[in-house]
Amino acid sequence: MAKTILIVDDSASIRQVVKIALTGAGYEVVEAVDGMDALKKLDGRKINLVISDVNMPNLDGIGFVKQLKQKSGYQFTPVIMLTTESEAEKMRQGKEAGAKAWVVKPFQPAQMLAAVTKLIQP
Amino acid sequence: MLNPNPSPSTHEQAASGALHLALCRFAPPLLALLFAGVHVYGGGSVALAGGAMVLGILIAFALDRTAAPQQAATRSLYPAPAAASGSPPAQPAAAETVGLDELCKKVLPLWSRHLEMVRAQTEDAVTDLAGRFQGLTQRVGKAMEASSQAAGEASGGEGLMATLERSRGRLNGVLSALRSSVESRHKVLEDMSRLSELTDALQTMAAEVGEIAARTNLLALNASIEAARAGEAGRGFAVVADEVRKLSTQSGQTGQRIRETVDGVSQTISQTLSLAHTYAEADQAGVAAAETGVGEVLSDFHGAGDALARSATILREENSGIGDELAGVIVQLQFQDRVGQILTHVLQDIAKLEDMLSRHASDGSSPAFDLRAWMDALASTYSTAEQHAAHRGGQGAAAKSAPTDITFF
Repeated sequence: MAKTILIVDDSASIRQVVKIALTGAGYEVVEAVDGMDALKKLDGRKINLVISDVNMPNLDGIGFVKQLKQKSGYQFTPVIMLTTESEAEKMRQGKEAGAKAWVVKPFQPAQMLAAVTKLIQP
Repeated sequence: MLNPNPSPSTHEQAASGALHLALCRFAPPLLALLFAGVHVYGGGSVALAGGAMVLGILIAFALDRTAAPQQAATRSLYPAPAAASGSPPAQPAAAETVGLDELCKKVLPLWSRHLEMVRAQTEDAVTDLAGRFQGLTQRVGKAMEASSQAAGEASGGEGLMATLERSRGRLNGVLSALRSSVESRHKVLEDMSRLSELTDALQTMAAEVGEIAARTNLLALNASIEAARAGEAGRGFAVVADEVRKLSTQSGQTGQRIRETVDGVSQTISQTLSLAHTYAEADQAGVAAAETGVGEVLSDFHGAGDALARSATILREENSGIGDELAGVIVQLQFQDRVGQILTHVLQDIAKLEDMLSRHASDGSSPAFDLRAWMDALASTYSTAEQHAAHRGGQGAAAKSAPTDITFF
Protein backbone atom coordinates (compact mmCIF):
# COMPACT_ATOMS: atom_id res chain seq x y z
CA MET A 1 0.00 0.00 0.00
CA ALA A 2 1.30 3.41 -0.98
CA LYS A 3 2.73 5.58 1.79
CA THR A 4 0.94 8.89 2.36
CA ILE A 5 2.80 12.18 2.67
CA LEU A 6 1.21 15.44 3.85
CA ILE A 7 2.52 18.55 2.06
CA VAL A 8 1.93 21.83 3.91
CA ASP A 9 2.78 24.99 1.94
CA ASP A 10 0.90 28.19 1.15
CA SER A 11 2.46 28.24 -2.31
CA ALA A 12 0.39 26.22 -4.78
CA SER A 13 3.38 25.94 -7.12
CA ILE A 14 5.56 24.42 -4.41
CA ARG A 15 2.80 21.96 -3.45
CA GLN A 16 2.54 21.07 -7.12
CA VAL A 17 6.27 20.43 -7.68
CA VAL A 18 6.61 18.44 -4.43
CA LYS A 19 3.57 16.43 -5.47
CA ILE A 20 5.13 15.74 -8.89
CA ALA A 21 8.35 14.54 -7.29
CA LEU A 22 6.55 12.30 -4.77
CA THR A 23 3.74 10.84 -6.89
CA GLY A 24 6.37 9.96 -9.50
CA ALA A 25 7.99 7.76 -6.85
CA GLY A 26 4.67 6.11 -5.94
CA TYR A 27 3.69 8.08 -2.84
CA GLU A 28 0.15 9.26 -2.11
CA VAL A 29 -0.01 12.98 -1.39
CA VAL A 30 -2.34 15.07 0.78
CA GLU A 31 -2.09 18.86 0.44
CA ALA A 32 -2.68 21.61 3.01
CA VAL A 33 -2.33 25.38 2.47
CA ASP A 34 -1.14 26.26 5.99
CA GLY A 35 -0.68 24.85 9.50
CA MET A 36 -4.34 25.18 10.44
CA ASP A 37 -5.47 23.47 7.25
CA ALA A 38 -2.89 20.73 7.83
CA LEU A 39 -4.25 20.00 11.32
CA LYS A 40 -7.75 19.67 9.80
CA LYS A 41 -6.48 17.43 7.00
CA LEU A 42 -4.93 14.98 9.48
CA ASP A 43 -8.42 13.86 10.49
CA GLY A 44 -7.06 10.67 12.05
CA ARG A 45 -5.75 9.42 8.71
CA LYS A 46 -2.48 7.53 8.44
CA ILE A 47 0.29 9.94 7.50
CA ASN A 48 3.73 8.41 6.98
CA LEU A 49 5.63 11.68 6.65
CA VAL A 50 5.02 15.44 6.66
CA ILE A 51 6.78 18.01 4.46
CA SER A 52 6.06 21.50 5.76
CA ASP A 53 6.96 25.07 4.83
CA VAL A 54 8.00 27.40 7.66
CA ASN A 55 6.55 30.82 6.76
CA MET A 56 2.81 30.46 6.28
CA PRO A 57 -0.29 32.48 7.23
CA ASN A 58 -2.67 31.45 10.04
CA LEU A 59 -0.32 28.87 11.58
CA ASP A 60 3.31 28.71 10.56
CA GLY A 61 5.36 25.55 10.07
CA ILE A 62 7.08 25.58 13.46
CA GLY A 63 3.76 26.08 15.29
CA PHE A 64 2.14 23.35 13.22
CA VAL A 65 4.89 20.83 13.98
CA LYS A 66 4.63 21.60 17.70
CA GLN A 67 0.89 20.89 17.61
CA LEU A 68 1.35 17.82 15.42
CA LYS A 69 3.70 16.33 17.98
CA GLN A 70 1.00 16.77 20.65
CA LYS A 71 -1.56 14.82 18.66
CA SER A 72 -2.21 11.18 19.36
CA GLY A 73 -0.94 8.98 16.55
CA TYR A 74 1.38 11.61 15.08
CA GLN A 75 4.07 11.96 17.78
CA PHE A 76 6.46 9.84 15.76
CA THR A 77 5.47 11.01 12.28
CA PRO A 78 8.72 12.30 10.75
CA VAL A 79 8.66 15.92 9.54
CA ILE A 80 10.83 17.57 6.88
CA MET A 81 10.84 21.37 6.93
CA LEU A 82 11.01 22.69 3.34
CA THR A 83 11.75 26.40 3.33
CA THR A 84 13.77 29.26 1.86
CA GLU A 85 15.00 29.97 5.38
CA SER A 86 18.52 28.86 6.13
CA GLU A 87 19.30 30.78 9.31
CA ALA A 88 20.64 28.76 12.22
CA GLU A 89 18.06 30.18 14.67
CA LYS A 90 15.12 29.10 12.53
CA MET A 91 16.68 25.66 12.08
CA ARG A 92 17.15 25.38 15.83
CA GLN A 93 13.44 26.19 16.33
CA GLY A 94 12.54 23.52 13.79
CA LYS A 95 14.66 20.93 15.47
CA GLU A 96 13.23 21.87 18.87
CA ALA A 97 9.68 21.57 17.52
CA GLY A 98 10.45 18.00 16.45
CA ALA A 99 11.42 18.19 12.76
CA LYS A 100 13.78 15.50 11.50
CA ALA A 101 15.28 17.37 8.55
CA TRP A 102 15.62 20.88 7.16
CA VAL A 103 15.61 21.29 3.39
CA VAL A 104 16.34 24.67 1.83
CA LYS A 105 14.39 25.44 -1.35
CA PRO A 106 14.93 24.86 -4.16
CA PHE A 107 15.27 21.11 -3.71
CA GLN A 108 16.49 18.53 -6.20
CA PRO A 109 13.74 15.87 -6.57
CA ALA A 110 16.19 12.94 -6.28
CA GLN A 111 17.71 14.32 -3.08
CA MET A 112 14.30 15.08 -1.60
CA LEU A 113 13.22 11.50 -2.35
CA ALA A 114 16.40 10.18 -0.74
CA ALA A 115 15.60 12.19 2.40
CA VAL A 116 12.00 10.92 2.39
CA THR A 117 13.14 7.31 1.99
CA LYS A 118 15.63 7.76 4.80
CA LEU A 119 13.01 9.07 7.21
CA ILE A 120 9.93 7.07 6.31
CA GLN A 121 9.37 3.81 8.14
CA PRO A 122 9.75 0.80 5.82
CA MET B 1 16.24 63.55 11.73
CA LEU B 2 13.73 64.29 8.96
CA ASN B 3 13.02 67.99 9.55
CA PRO B 4 11.50 67.59 13.02
CA ASN B 5 10.16 71.17 13.40
CA PRO B 6 8.52 72.37 10.25
CA SER B 7 6.85 75.77 10.39
CA PRO B 8 3.07 75.71 9.78
CA SER B 9 3.48 77.70 6.59
CA THR B 10 5.91 75.20 5.16
CA HIS B 11 4.22 72.14 6.56
CA GLU B 12 3.32 70.63 3.23
CA GLN B 13 6.76 71.20 1.76
CA ALA B 14 8.41 69.76 4.87
CA ALA B 15 6.18 66.71 4.81
CA SER B 16 6.89 66.23 1.15
CA GLY B 17 10.61 66.54 1.80
CA ALA B 18 10.47 63.93 4.57
CA LEU B 19 8.48 61.59 2.40
CA HIS B 20 10.76 62.16 -0.49
CA LEU B 21 13.77 61.38 1.64
CA ALA B 22 12.03 58.28 2.92
CA LEU B 23 11.27 57.17 -0.60
CA CYS B 24 14.84 57.81 -1.61
CA ARG B 25 16.05 55.67 1.25
CA PHE B 26 13.54 52.86 0.94
CA ALA B 27 13.19 52.68 -2.81
CA PRO B 28 16.73 51.44 -3.57
CA PRO B 29 16.54 48.36 -1.33
CA LEU B 30 12.97 47.65 -2.45
CA LEU B 31 13.96 47.90 -6.09
CA ALA B 32 17.07 45.85 -5.45
CA LEU B 33 14.90 43.18 -3.85
CA LEU B 34 12.52 43.14 -6.77
CA PHE B 35 15.28 42.93 -9.33
CA ALA B 36 16.93 40.27 -7.20
CA GLY B 37 13.65 38.37 -7.54
CA VAL B 38 13.77 38.74 -11.30
CA HIS B 39 17.41 37.71 -11.25
CA VAL B 40 16.89 34.50 -9.29
CA TYR B 41 13.95 33.59 -11.42
CA GLY B 42 16.29 33.48 -14.37
CA GLY B 43 14.30 35.87 -16.52
CA GLY B 44 11.68 33.20 -17.00
CA SER B 45 8.73 35.32 -15.95
CA VAL B 46 7.71 38.18 -18.16
CA ALA B 47 4.91 39.00 -15.75
CA LEU B 48 7.29 39.39 -12.83
CA ALA B 49 9.76 41.44 -14.82
CA GLY B 50 6.81 43.55 -15.92
CA GLY B 51 5.71 43.99 -12.33
CA ALA B 52 9.17 45.10 -11.29
CA MET B 53 9.21 47.52 -14.17
CA VAL B 54 5.83 48.98 -13.16
CA LEU B 55 7.17 49.60 -9.67
CA GLY B 56 10.39 51.05 -11.08
CA ILE B 57 8.42 53.41 -13.31
CA LEU B 58 6.18 54.54 -10.46
CA ILE B 59 9.11 55.15 -8.11
CA ALA B 60 11.01 57.00 -10.76
CA PHE B 61 7.91 59.03 -11.51
CA ALA B 62 7.41 59.91 -7.85
CA LEU B 63 11.02 60.99 -7.53
CA ASP B 64 10.82 63.10 -10.67
CA ARG B 65 7.57 64.74 -9.61
CA THR B 66 8.70 65.75 -6.15
CA ALA B 67 12.34 66.63 -6.11
CA ALA B 68 13.89 66.04 -9.45
CA PRO B 69 16.64 68.69 -9.21
CA GLN B 70 17.93 67.53 -5.87
CA GLN B 71 17.90 63.83 -6.65
CA ALA B 72 19.67 63.58 -9.94
CA ALA B 73 22.16 61.13 -8.43
CA THR B 74 19.38 58.79 -7.29
CA ARG B 75 17.78 58.92 -10.72
CA SER B 76 21.03 58.02 -12.32
CA LEU B 77 21.17 54.94 -10.13
CA TYR B 78 17.63 53.91 -11.07
CA PRO B 79 17.03 55.46 -14.48
CA ALA B 80 13.40 55.68 -15.49
CA PRO B 81 12.67 53.54 -18.53
CA ALA B 82 11.57 55.31 -21.69
CA ALA B 83 8.03 54.07 -21.06
CA ALA B 84 7.87 56.28 -17.97
CA SER B 85 7.42 59.33 -20.16
CA GLY B 86 4.19 57.78 -21.35
CA SER B 87 2.74 57.47 -17.85
CA PRO B 88 -0.73 59.03 -17.52
CA PRO B 89 0.00 61.96 -15.12
CA ALA B 90 2.75 63.44 -17.29
CA GLN B 91 0.61 66.17 -18.91
CA PRO B 92 1.39 69.54 -17.23
CA ALA B 93 -1.70 71.23 -18.68
CA ALA B 94 -4.07 68.77 -16.96
CA ALA B 95 -1.93 68.32 -13.87
CA GLU B 96 -3.52 68.45 -10.45
CA THR B 97 -0.78 69.44 -8.08
CA VAL B 98 -0.76 67.46 -4.86
CA GLY B 99 1.74 66.85 -2.09
CA LEU B 100 3.90 63.76 -1.96
CA ASP B 101 1.86 62.31 0.91
CA GLU B 102 -1.33 62.68 -1.13
CA LEU B 103 0.39 61.16 -4.12
CA CYS B 104 1.63 58.26 -2.05
CA LYS B 105 -1.83 57.61 -0.66
CA LYS B 106 -3.06 57.18 -4.21
CA VAL B 107 -0.03 55.47 -5.66
CA LEU B 108 0.96 53.04 -2.93
CA PRO B 109 -2.27 51.01 -3.05
CA LEU B 110 -1.85 50.91 -6.82
CA TRP B 111 1.66 49.53 -6.49
CA SER B 112 0.39 46.97 -4.03
CA ARG B 113 -2.40 45.85 -6.33
CA HIS B 114 -0.03 45.57 -9.28
CA LEU B 115 2.54 43.65 -7.31
CA GLU B 116 -0.09 41.34 -5.85
CA MET B 117 -1.47 40.81 -9.34
CA VAL B 118 2.02 39.94 -10.63
CA ARG B 119 2.57 37.56 -7.72
CA ALA B 120 -0.79 35.84 -8.17
CA GLN B 121 -0.47 35.57 -11.96
CA THR B 122 3.02 34.12 -11.73
CA GLU B 123 1.92 31.68 -9.04
CA ASP B 124 -1.03 30.50 -11.15
CA ALA B 125 1.11 30.25 -14.28
CA VAL B 126 3.90 28.30 -12.57
CA THR B 127 1.42 25.94 -10.89
CA ASP B 128 -0.23 25.29 -14.23
CA LEU B 129 3.17 24.93 -15.91
CA ALA B 130 4.27 22.34 -13.35
CA GLY B 131 1.06 20.36 -13.91
CA ARG B 132 1.56 20.45 -17.67
CA PHE B 133 5.18 19.31 -17.36
CA GLN B 134 4.00 16.41 -15.26
CA GLY B 135 1.32 15.56 -17.82
CA LEU B 136 3.91 15.64 -20.61
CA THR B 137 6.28 13.42 -18.70
CA GLN B 138 3.53 10.92 -17.90
CA ARG B 139 2.48 10.75 -21.55
CA VAL B 140 6.05 10.23 -22.73
CA GLY B 141 6.50 7.59 -20.03
CA LYS B 142 3.42 5.68 -21.22
CA ALA B 143 4.66 5.75 -24.84
CA MET B 144 8.06 4.45 -23.71
CA GLU B 145 6.47 1.68 -21.69
CA ALA B 146 4.32 0.55 -24.63
CA SER B 147 7.34 0.55 -26.94
CA SER B 148 9.46 -1.36 -24.44
CA GLN B 149 6.79 -4.02 -24.07
CA ALA B 150 6.51 -4.41 -27.84
CA ALA B 151 10.25 -5.01 -28.06
CA GLY B 152 10.17 -7.53 -25.26
CA GLU B 153 12.06 -5.26 -22.95
CA ALA B 154 9.44 -4.98 -20.24
CA SER B 155 10.28 -7.16 -17.30
CA GLY B 156 8.08 -10.25 -17.32
CA GLY B 157 6.28 -9.05 -20.42
CA GLU B 158 5.51 -11.23 -23.48
CA GLY B 159 7.51 -9.24 -26.01
CA LEU B 160 8.31 -9.64 -29.67
CA MET B 161 11.66 -11.33 -29.05
CA ALA B 162 10.00 -13.99 -26.87
CA THR B 163 7.35 -14.57 -29.57
CA LEU B 164 10.08 -14.89 -32.19
CA GLU B 165 11.96 -17.46 -30.15
CA ARG B 166 8.80 -19.47 -29.63
CA SER B 167 8.01 -19.29 -33.37
CA ARG B 168 11.55 -20.42 -34.19
CA GLY B 169 11.06 -23.46 -31.95
CA ARG B 170 7.74 -24.37 -33.59
CA LEU B 171 9.06 -23.91 -37.13
CA ASN B 172 12.10 -26.02 -36.34
CA GLY B 173 9.67 -28.73 -35.17
CA VAL B 174 7.85 -28.57 -38.55
CA LEU B 175 11.19 -28.79 -40.39
CA SER B 176 12.19 -31.82 -38.31
CA ALA B 177 8.93 -33.55 -39.22
CA LEU B 178 9.58 -32.87 -42.91
CA ARG B 179 13.15 -34.20 -42.67
CA SER B 180 11.85 -37.30 -40.90
CA SER B 181 9.30 -37.88 -43.71
CA VAL B 182 12.05 -37.61 -46.36
CA GLU B 183 14.20 -40.06 -44.44
CA SER B 184 11.26 -42.53 -44.30
CA ARG B 185 10.92 -42.33 -48.08
CA HIS B 186 14.63 -43.04 -48.45
CA LYS B 187 14.09 -46.17 -46.40
CA VAL B 188 11.28 -47.26 -48.78
CA LEU B 189 13.59 -46.57 -51.72
CA GLU B 190 16.30 -48.75 -50.22
CA ASP B 191 13.76 -51.55 -49.69
CA MET B 192 12.58 -51.25 -53.26
CA SER B 193 16.18 -51.35 -54.50
CA ARG B 194 16.65 -54.58 -52.58
CA LEU B 195 13.42 -55.92 -54.16
CA SER B 196 14.90 -55.11 -57.56
CA GLU B 197 17.97 -57.20 -56.68
CA LEU B 198 15.65 -60.09 -55.70
CA THR B 199 13.95 -60.04 -59.11
CA ASP B 200 17.40 -60.42 -60.69
CA ALA B 201 17.85 -63.58 -58.59
CA LEU B 202 14.42 -64.79 -59.72
CA GLN B 203 15.44 -64.25 -63.34
CA THR B 204 18.56 -66.37 -62.78
CA MET B 205 16.50 -69.06 -61.11
CA ALA B 206 14.00 -69.01 -64.01
CA ALA B 207 16.94 -69.38 -66.44
CA GLU B 208 18.21 -72.29 -64.42
CA VAL B 209 14.75 -73.91 -64.53
CA GLY B 210 14.84 -73.56 -68.35
CA GLU B 211 18.33 -75.05 -68.46
CA ILE B 212 17.24 -78.02 -66.32
CA ALA B 213 14.18 -78.53 -68.54
CA ALA B 214 16.37 -78.52 -71.69
CA ARG B 215 18.82 -80.99 -70.24
CA THR B 216 15.93 -83.18 -68.98
CA ASN B 217 14.44 -83.07 -72.48
CA LEU B 218 17.78 -84.17 -73.94
CA LEU B 219 18.00 -86.93 -71.34
CA ALA B 220 14.43 -88.10 -72.17
CA LEU B 221 15.33 -88.15 -75.87
CA ASN B 222 18.38 -90.31 -75.17
CA ALA B 223 16.20 -92.58 -73.04
CA SER B 224 13.72 -92.97 -75.94
CA ILE B 225 16.60 -93.93 -78.28
CA GLU B 226 17.86 -96.47 -75.82
CA ALA B 227 14.32 -97.84 -75.33
CA ALA B 228 13.88 -98.26 -79.08
CA ARG B 229 17.17 -100.12 -79.26
CA ALA B 230 15.96 -102.49 -76.53
CA GLY B 231 13.01 -103.49 -78.72
CA GLU B 232 9.95 -104.96 -77.14
CA ALA B 233 11.53 -104.97 -73.71
CA GLY B 234 12.08 -101.24 -73.89
CA ARG B 235 8.55 -100.34 -75.01
CA GLY B 236 7.37 -99.48 -71.47
CA PHE B 237 10.53 -97.49 -70.83
CA ALA B 238 9.91 -95.63 -74.10
CA VAL B 239 6.49 -94.53 -72.73
CA VAL B 240 8.15 -93.30 -69.53
CA ALA B 241 10.86 -91.53 -71.51
CA ASP B 242 8.24 -89.85 -73.60
CA GLU B 243 6.33 -88.65 -70.52
CA VAL B 244 9.57 -87.28 -69.06
CA ARG B 245 10.21 -85.43 -72.31
CA LYS B 246 6.68 -83.92 -72.15
CA LEU B 247 7.28 -82.83 -68.52
CA SER B 248 10.61 -81.29 -69.43
CA THR B 249 8.90 -79.37 -72.21
CA GLN B 250 6.26 -78.13 -69.76
CA SER B 251 9.03 -77.23 -67.27
CA GLY B 252 10.80 -75.27 -69.96
CA GLN B 253 7.57 -73.43 -70.77
CA THR B 254 6.95 -72.72 -67.05
CA GLY B 255 10.53 -71.39 -66.70
CA GLN B 256 9.88 -69.15 -69.70
CA ARG B 257 6.65 -67.78 -68.13
CA ILE B 258 8.47 -67.21 -64.84
CA ARG B 259 11.15 -65.25 -66.70
CA GLU B 260 8.53 -63.16 -68.49
CA THR B 261 6.61 -62.49 -65.27
CA VAL B 262 9.76 -61.56 -63.36
CA ASP B 263 10.72 -59.30 -66.27
CA GLY B 264 7.38 -57.54 -65.93
CA VAL B 265 7.73 -57.21 -62.15
CA SER B 266 11.29 -55.99 -62.56
CA GLN B 267 10.25 -53.38 -65.09
CA THR B 268 7.43 -52.12 -62.86
CA ILE B 269 9.75 -51.96 -59.83
CA SER B 270 12.32 -50.11 -61.89
CA GLN B 271 9.75 -47.54 -63.04
CA THR B 272 8.40 -47.15 -59.47
CA LEU B 273 11.94 -46.76 -58.16
CA SER B 274 12.68 -44.10 -60.74
CA LEU B 275 9.52 -42.20 -59.85
CA ALA B 276 10.25 -42.57 -56.12
CA HIS B 277 13.78 -41.19 -56.68
CA THR B 278 12.29 -38.21 -58.49
CA TYR B 279 9.83 -37.60 -55.66
CA ALA B 280 12.54 -38.02 -53.03
CA GLU B 281 14.71 -35.44 -54.74
CA ALA B 282 11.74 -33.06 -54.94
CA ASP B 283 11.02 -33.66 -51.25
CA GLN B 284 14.66 -33.02 -50.37
CA ALA B 285 14.63 -29.80 -52.38
CA GLY B 286 11.31 -28.82 -50.73
CA VAL B 287 12.71 -29.36 -47.25
CA ALA B 288 15.85 -27.39 -48.16
CA ALA B 289 13.68 -24.56 -49.55
CA ALA B 290 11.51 -24.64 -46.42
CA GLU B 291 14.62 -24.46 -44.21
CA THR B 292 15.98 -21.53 -46.20
CA GLY B 293 12.59 -19.76 -46.23
CA VAL B 294 12.00 -20.25 -42.52
CA GLY B 295 15.56 -19.10 -41.78
CA GLU B 296 15.13 -15.97 -43.88
CA VAL B 297 11.73 -15.12 -42.38
CA LEU B 298 13.04 -15.60 -38.85
CA SER B 299 16.11 -13.56 -39.70
CA ASP B 300 13.91 -10.76 -41.05
CA PHE B 301 11.78 -10.83 -37.93
CA HIS B 302 14.89 -10.89 -35.78
CA GLY B 303 16.19 -7.89 -37.66
CA ALA B 304 12.92 -6.06 -37.04
CA GLY B 305 12.94 -7.18 -33.41
CA ASP B 306 16.52 -6.00 -32.96
CA ALA B 307 15.61 -2.64 -34.48
CA LEU B 308 12.68 -2.40 -32.07
CA ALA B 309 14.90 -3.37 -29.16
CA ARG B 310 17.44 -0.72 -30.19
CA SER B 311 14.66 1.82 -30.47
CA ALA B 312 13.39 0.77 -27.04
CA THR B 313 16.90 1.27 -25.66
CA ILE B 314 17.06 4.72 -27.21
CA LEU B 315 13.59 5.51 -25.84
CA ARG B 316 14.63 4.33 -22.39
CA GLU B 317 17.70 6.54 -22.51
CA GLU B 318 15.58 9.44 -23.71
CA ASN B 319 13.07 8.76 -20.92
CA SER B 320 15.88 8.95 -18.43
CA GLY B 321 17.01 12.21 -20.06
CA ILE B 322 13.47 13.58 -19.84
CA GLY B 323 13.40 12.58 -16.17
CA ASP B 324 16.57 14.60 -15.63
CA GLU B 325 15.08 17.53 -17.51
CA LEU B 326 11.92 17.35 -15.39
CA ALA B 327 14.07 17.34 -12.25
CA GLY B 328 15.72 20.52 -13.57
CA VAL B 329 12.32 22.04 -14.33
CA ILE B 330 11.11 21.18 -10.81
CA VAL B 331 14.12 22.99 -9.36
CA GLN B 332 13.64 26.06 -11.54
CA LEU B 333 9.88 26.26 -10.86
CA GLN B 334 10.59 26.54 -7.15
CA PHE B 335 12.11 29.95 -7.73
CA GLN B 336 8.54 31.19 -8.09
CA ASP B 337 8.21 30.58 -4.35
CA ARG B 338 11.34 32.57 -3.56
CA VAL B 339 10.23 35.38 -5.86
CA GLY B 340 6.70 35.27 -4.41
CA GLN B 341 8.09 35.65 -0.91
CA ILE B 342 10.27 38.61 -1.93
CA LEU B 343 7.24 40.28 -3.54
CA THR B 344 5.16 39.61 -0.43
CA HIS B 345 7.79 41.28 1.76
CA VAL B 346 7.89 44.31 -0.54
CA LEU B 347 4.09 44.43 -0.50
CA GLN B 348 4.06 44.31 3.29
CA ASP B 349 6.52 47.20 3.44
CA ILE B 350 4.50 49.27 1.00
CA ALA B 351 1.36 48.55 3.06
CA LYS B 352 3.24 49.64 6.17
CA LEU B 353 4.25 52.94 4.56
CA GLU B 354 0.71 53.44 3.32
CA ASP B 355 -0.68 52.80 6.77
CA MET B 356 1.72 55.25 8.33
CA LEU B 357 0.82 57.93 5.83
CA SER B 358 -2.89 57.36 6.49
CA ARG B 359 -2.41 57.71 10.21
CA HIS B 360 -0.45 60.91 9.81
CA ALA B 361 -3.01 62.28 7.40
CA SER B 362 -5.82 61.56 9.84
CA ASP B 363 -4.17 63.28 12.81
CA GLY B 364 -2.56 66.03 10.70
CA SER B 365 0.91 65.34 12.00
CA SER B 366 4.03 65.33 9.90
CA PRO B 367 5.36 61.92 9.09
CA ALA B 368 8.77 61.23 10.50
CA PHE B 369 10.56 57.96 10.29
CA ASP B 370 13.05 56.08 12.38
CA LEU B 371 15.04 54.98 9.38
CA ARG B 372 17.16 52.37 11.17
CA ALA B 373 14.12 50.80 12.85
CA TRP B 374 12.32 50.70 9.51
CA MET B 375 15.26 49.11 7.71
CA ASP B 376 15.75 46.58 10.52
CA ALA B 377 12.04 45.70 10.47
CA LEU B 378 12.23 45.22 6.71
CA ALA B 379 15.33 43.03 7.06
CA SER B 380 13.61 40.92 9.71
CA THR B 381 11.00 39.83 7.16
CA TYR B 382 13.57 38.38 4.77
CA SER B 383 13.55 34.65 4.30
CA THR B 384 16.20 34.19 1.63
CA ALA B 385 19.94 34.77 1.55
CA GLU B 386 19.69 36.86 -1.61
CA GLN B 387 17.31 39.31 0.14
CA HIS B 388 19.91 39.94 2.82
CA ALA B 389 22.55 40.37 0.12
CA ALA B 390 20.32 42.81 -1.76
CA HIS B 391 19.61 44.71 1.45
CA ARG B 392 23.33 45.22 1.96
CA GLY B 393 23.48 46.95 -1.41
CA GLY B 394 24.16 44.14 -3.85
CA GLN B 395 21.90 43.05 -6.66
CA GLY B 396 21.19 39.84 -4.80
CA ALA B 397 23.32 36.79 -5.05
CA ALA B 398 22.37 34.31 -7.72
CA ALA B 399 20.30 31.77 -5.87
CA LYS B 400 21.72 28.30 -5.74
CA SER B 401 20.11 25.58 -7.79
CA ALA B 402 22.17 22.55 -6.73
CA PRO B 403 22.83 20.55 -4.73
CA THR B 404 19.96 20.55 -2.23
CA ASP B 405 20.89 21.88 1.17
CA ILE B 406 19.60 19.18 3.55
CA THR B 407 20.27 19.08 7.28
CA PHE B 408 19.18 16.04 9.28
CA PHE B 409 18.52 16.52 13.00
